Amino acid sequence: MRLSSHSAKDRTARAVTYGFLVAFLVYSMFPLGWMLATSFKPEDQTKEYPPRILPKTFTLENYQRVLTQTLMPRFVLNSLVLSGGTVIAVVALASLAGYGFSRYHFPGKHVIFLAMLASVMISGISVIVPLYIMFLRLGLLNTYWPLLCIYVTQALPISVWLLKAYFDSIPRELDESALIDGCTRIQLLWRVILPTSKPGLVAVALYTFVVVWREFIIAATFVGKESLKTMPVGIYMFFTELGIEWGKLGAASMLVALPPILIFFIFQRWFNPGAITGALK
Amino acid sequence: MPASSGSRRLESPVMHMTPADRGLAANLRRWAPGYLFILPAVTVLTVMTVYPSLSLLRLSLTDWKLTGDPKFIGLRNYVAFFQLPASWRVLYVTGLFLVWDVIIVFSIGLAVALALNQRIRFRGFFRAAVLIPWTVTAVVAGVVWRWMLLPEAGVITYLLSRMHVELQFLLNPTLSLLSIILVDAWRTIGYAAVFLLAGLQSIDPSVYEAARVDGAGAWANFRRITIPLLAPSSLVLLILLTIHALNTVDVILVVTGGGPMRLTETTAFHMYKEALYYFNVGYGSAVSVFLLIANIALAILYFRLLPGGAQETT
Repeated sequence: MRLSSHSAKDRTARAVTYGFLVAFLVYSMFPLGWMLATSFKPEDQTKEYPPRILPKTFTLENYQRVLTQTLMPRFVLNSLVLSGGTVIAVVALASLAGYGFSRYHFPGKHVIFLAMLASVMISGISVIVPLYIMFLRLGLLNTYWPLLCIYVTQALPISVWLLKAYFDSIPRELDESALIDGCTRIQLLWRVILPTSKPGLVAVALYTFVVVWREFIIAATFVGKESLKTMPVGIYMFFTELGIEWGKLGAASMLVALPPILIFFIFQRWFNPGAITGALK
Repeated sequence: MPASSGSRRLESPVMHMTPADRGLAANLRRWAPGYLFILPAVTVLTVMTVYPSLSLLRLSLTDWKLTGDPKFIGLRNYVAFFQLPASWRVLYVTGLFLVWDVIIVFSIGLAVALALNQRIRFRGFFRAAVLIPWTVTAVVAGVVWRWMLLPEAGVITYLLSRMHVELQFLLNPTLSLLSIILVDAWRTIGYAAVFLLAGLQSIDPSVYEAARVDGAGAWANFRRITIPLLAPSSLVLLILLTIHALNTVDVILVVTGGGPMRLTETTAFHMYKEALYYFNVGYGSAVSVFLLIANIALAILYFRLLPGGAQETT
């Protein structure tokens, strides 16, 4: 029930809240805005002093150069392939495992589930050295296999947890009526459970996509071949080699920042990293 | 077997027997589908965690530099770490970074979450917008911030100097660490805010209503209701943030490269440089083991503090 919001105290509180949020938004967006503005400046104006925000001369030459004279489009394509592949793998594996944990009981289930959650602690930068050696020996450096394996490992625990919680909230009666109608378990999963779990699947897909898209260190470690580099690694290359051409860098940065932002705004309703807390209630 | 979810299952004589009564074949048939469903995911996770962990331990006991064969040297890498004066500075910087990064991200994230939890318009828009920095890759974030903090030409440096505040962000070791924290915070606060917002929104509003009826003011509400009910989520987030800060390498690499003069190197960064730049694989593995132990310790804490305890997850 809402109380009247016309009291002076309420109005001040709301003003403060809006003010704070707007200020925070400015803080969040300012670097991106600055980058955007700089990407439209001709190179000689990017280093001027005192620095101006808006370009004196508006130009698209940075974008044109980045798109036609560099490997950036290739890098973005690589990132798309890798992110997309990882999302597919994670959604597939996590759906199966989430379903298994949700609908079945078997010895060791509790222990295995906890171990799975714990494994995320061992999958990060701490074990990058042995992983590097392992893939080096397998001859898989400069392919996407190491990256796919590592990213899937990092995304699986939280994804399985989330999907299991979602599946748990789907009544078993649904399972049973489908089984009575003659479905196999796999068909049940594919035709009944998954369509009902769209928000959960979208959350998993979105989270995985963004995490892989923006990841830098692991991608840089395992893929050195230029034509295979992912987007973050490619941009880093510009940074160190081009003697910092800020205009081009700005244009490249805007191009790569855009896809996740767009996808994000479209799907953000489903994204909730705190869902774990909610799912446990 | 108790029907834990309370749903009615298809009746069959087998249902009313305990596993011991049923015999091995029947048991296996009941358990098999469950195992099969979880098998792919569990296999991937096992291979990708167990083998590297064991390999890490073994590598840390060698002096391998990727050329020739690894030679077993026992615990000498570990001893070497503690004997190098630089190591203590690395640990100190790691501690500083952890503390300040987590404090800044958490407190501002909490403020944002509280703001988002109010009855405001465009909440969905704000919520999406605060997450945008989180989607930006570390390289871009680092480059842009570094650029804004450049001595003289940087926008922020310039604006500050107009207010007669002279700060050489990237030349001073303390300010360099602050710059790294600034960049990481910029990327992470949105995540923390949305995390805490979920926790805030799961607090039943009728609790607040009851308190208001009893005449409680806003501050009392916050102290007596919000803080205790948000505590579990907060603790979980704090641990997640600590683990995140502990493992951060990319932002440090891009913003300062560990400088000036290696004075912003954290343990993770130091390990990465040693192992994958200088290919000091043996020594780097030893440092990784420290990192791993710290991560595991935090993970154990995390599980202890899960709201409701881990039991409820299954």
